[in-house]
Amino acid sequence: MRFQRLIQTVTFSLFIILLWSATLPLAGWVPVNLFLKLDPLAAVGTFVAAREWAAWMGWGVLILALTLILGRLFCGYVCPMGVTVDLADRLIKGRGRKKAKNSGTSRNFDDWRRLKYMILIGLLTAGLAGVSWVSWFSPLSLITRFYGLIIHPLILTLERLGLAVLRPVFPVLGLDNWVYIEIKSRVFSANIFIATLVLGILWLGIFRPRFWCRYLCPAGALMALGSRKPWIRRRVSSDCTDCGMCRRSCPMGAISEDNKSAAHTECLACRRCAEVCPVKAVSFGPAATVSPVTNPALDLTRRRWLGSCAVGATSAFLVMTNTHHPQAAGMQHGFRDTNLVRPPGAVPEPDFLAKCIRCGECMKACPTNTLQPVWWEAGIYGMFSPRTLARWDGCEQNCNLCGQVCPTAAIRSLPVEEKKYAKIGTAQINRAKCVAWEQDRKCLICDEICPYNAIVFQPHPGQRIPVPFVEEQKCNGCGFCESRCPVEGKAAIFVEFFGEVRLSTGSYLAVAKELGLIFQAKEGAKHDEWVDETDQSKTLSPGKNAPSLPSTPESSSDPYLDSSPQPGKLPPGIITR
Amino acid sequence: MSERVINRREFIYQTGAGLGLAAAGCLAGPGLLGDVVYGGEQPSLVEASGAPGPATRAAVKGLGGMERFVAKGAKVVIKPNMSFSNPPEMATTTHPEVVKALVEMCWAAGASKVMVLDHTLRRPEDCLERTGIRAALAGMPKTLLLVLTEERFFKAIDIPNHRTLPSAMVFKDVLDADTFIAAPVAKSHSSAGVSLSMKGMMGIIYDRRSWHSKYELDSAIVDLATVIKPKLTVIDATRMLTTGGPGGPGEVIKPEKVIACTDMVAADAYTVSIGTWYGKQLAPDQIKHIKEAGERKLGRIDVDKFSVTKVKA
Repeated sequence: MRFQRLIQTVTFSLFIILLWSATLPLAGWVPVNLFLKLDPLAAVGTFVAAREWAAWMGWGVLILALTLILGRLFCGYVCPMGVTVDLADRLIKGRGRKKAKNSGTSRNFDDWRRLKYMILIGLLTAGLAGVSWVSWFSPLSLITRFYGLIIHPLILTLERLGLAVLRPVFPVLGLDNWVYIEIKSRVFSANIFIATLVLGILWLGIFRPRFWCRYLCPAGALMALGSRKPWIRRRVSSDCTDCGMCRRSCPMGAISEDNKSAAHTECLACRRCAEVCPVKAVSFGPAATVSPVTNPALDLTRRRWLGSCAVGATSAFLVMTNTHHPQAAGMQHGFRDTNLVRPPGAVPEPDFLAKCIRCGECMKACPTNTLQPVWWEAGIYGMFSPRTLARWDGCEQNCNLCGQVCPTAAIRSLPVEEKKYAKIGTAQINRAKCVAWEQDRKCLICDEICPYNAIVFQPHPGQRIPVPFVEEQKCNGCGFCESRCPVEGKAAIFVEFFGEVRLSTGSYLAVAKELGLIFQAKEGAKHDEWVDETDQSKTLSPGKNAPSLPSTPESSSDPYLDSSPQPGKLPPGIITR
Repeated sequence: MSERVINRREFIYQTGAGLGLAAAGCLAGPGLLGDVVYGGEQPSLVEASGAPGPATRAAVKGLGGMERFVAKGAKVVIKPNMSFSNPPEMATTTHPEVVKALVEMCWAAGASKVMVLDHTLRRPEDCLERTGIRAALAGMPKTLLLVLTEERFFKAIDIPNHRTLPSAMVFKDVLDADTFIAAPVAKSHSSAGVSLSMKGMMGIIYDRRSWHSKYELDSAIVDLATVIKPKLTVIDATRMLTTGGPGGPGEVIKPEKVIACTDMVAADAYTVSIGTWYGKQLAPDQIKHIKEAGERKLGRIDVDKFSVTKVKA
């Protein structure tokens, strides 16, 4: 195997292992989000947009600093997007690349190389305005999202299928107990679009190998800035016969017509040129005298600079005047979809949107699969940011994974105890749909599943059986109630983001105490007086006009059918005397 | 397959008046203490006091030992309550030492297969971990500790004498087991009043939601009890969750008792009588599903009339 492929195999395997390890229980010593932190664009882009320096950005800066010595080594050996592009290019090559004469100097395409710089300029301009487009262009964000939300579920699905196919064979092999193995696949909304975005990038390989890396990747552009004259770089000795094999084999088309000089801003140091050289004239090492540099002129005319800035600024303007922006047009509150419940520990919304790089690591990690990528619900700016989908499942109260794996601290890493107090929303009951309120059913699933004891059943005037109420100061917004509500369609109990607690710094526990939030049951903390006297539904309740239900033989002795006042709040399954 | 047919027929016989004894005899076969009886007969019920593990052993020993229930080579399914991802102190799940003692006794009695099975409310992994049950059984790798959720593990059975629930999807392994042991924890329940062995049988069902939204919960619990009858019921009352059940948190008292009985209904009834529920002493017939089970002759609930063997562990 070629040296580059060997290293790529190792780094890519590590990337996958780390991503797959973003799950419960989280091994404390593995920084599962390491690769995301290495992305210089994530560091620089987030630094500019969020206007905040954070320690993790040091990784990206380190990678940038290394380009002065090693050039775009990261792109050639470490970047999992690069590996994926290489893999796709190999497939495309087998099926015939579109007449792409890989001469490296094909004029019209070479002009495109400046596109990545223009994207970078536009992205940073928008960042200056506080709008981060990192998620659309950061290679690590794109590829982590792709492997975490598309490929991981795909593999799980294949495992499920494989298991189903092999299941009849297990007893024959004496592996009887293997029939009990269950593999749960995972589901993600907007996955088609996430897949399309990356597959589209890979498809571009039909025009040129490493299309993304050559023409589009602004992280590559950032690294290219430092790679103009790296200390270790391609050298050509005088043995060169000008055969041109290196030039034709260069996946980046970085070698000039003279076969000797190269654009180090484009060179990934993959060493293919050194490997194919029949006379071993090419080597990589400390810059020698015979290593002419022909970096393509950036060719960023004033017009292109200004144009890129203008596009970036316009995009920022559009975002800031979009209804969904949390501070639309500079106002204190923008419009936010009421169901848009953010993960626990997510920093305040404007900051969150600037810091979140939509890498999907939190969604990959989320044990209950409740964290889902947003599609249009948060406008185009909020696209692929995480939300909880409580109808699917709740937020596990003893889990703090999303914060632990978030590379940019858009979701704060909180101790489990703190995280329980990071209230993400509040449940409310739609009485017109609740089977207890509407049909006198002894349904208590929301109460049963509620980890915080926030739902109480109370007798209520006009109701035949005790009916559920949400004690808002106990409700953490986890959404288990919504996930298990047995009514079809939209749940009769559902979580909206109101009441959420979002803190940039400081203790959630302390703030919860101030707000009077109780996320642990206390004896006697139940509120017997909790009957909403102003409630209109006691007179308007359609429950009494609902079709009568078949009565059980016990119904005559059911104390809750009496109209007399009820003592205490015993469960309906207990007969009081 | 054939075993399942026998089971179902057996269930039908048992619910038919007067035929219970004959069916139990068929099932138990010669040489066994086949006096697993329902309805009017005197249940044999043992209340053992002490720490969870020893009390469990003492309670089962008091009934005649696990050999009475587990024949050599028998396939055993134990159904503890591990539905919530809470630690044992919260009393929402069966104490791991109770489960461990039962498993050990089953193996010692010569079982060929021992499964500890539940269909949990909360995420399986968390439940196994946080209840402490996985750790307790770690030393017994042959024991299958499973939370199964896929439909293929369940089989639809009819409930001929139902009041509300005409059929249910039940764990195949429970239907196929030679010995099925119910091992719930004693706790309150915000709808059914208490959650003991009968209510705990919802944990062998595929779709529980409809029990709440479509059927009458109390009657559905009893309907299932007409067809699913554990040979042995062991109720963990070492701790009782007297309020805030089933998921807690709530008030936990520590009676430090384990109740073992051949009659699931009697075990539930007795456990109600020795506990405090929502700050009150309750009679078994104040719990609707227990009252109904008694009325439908599924077991005895007249706790003041049965003999209870009390032992100390």
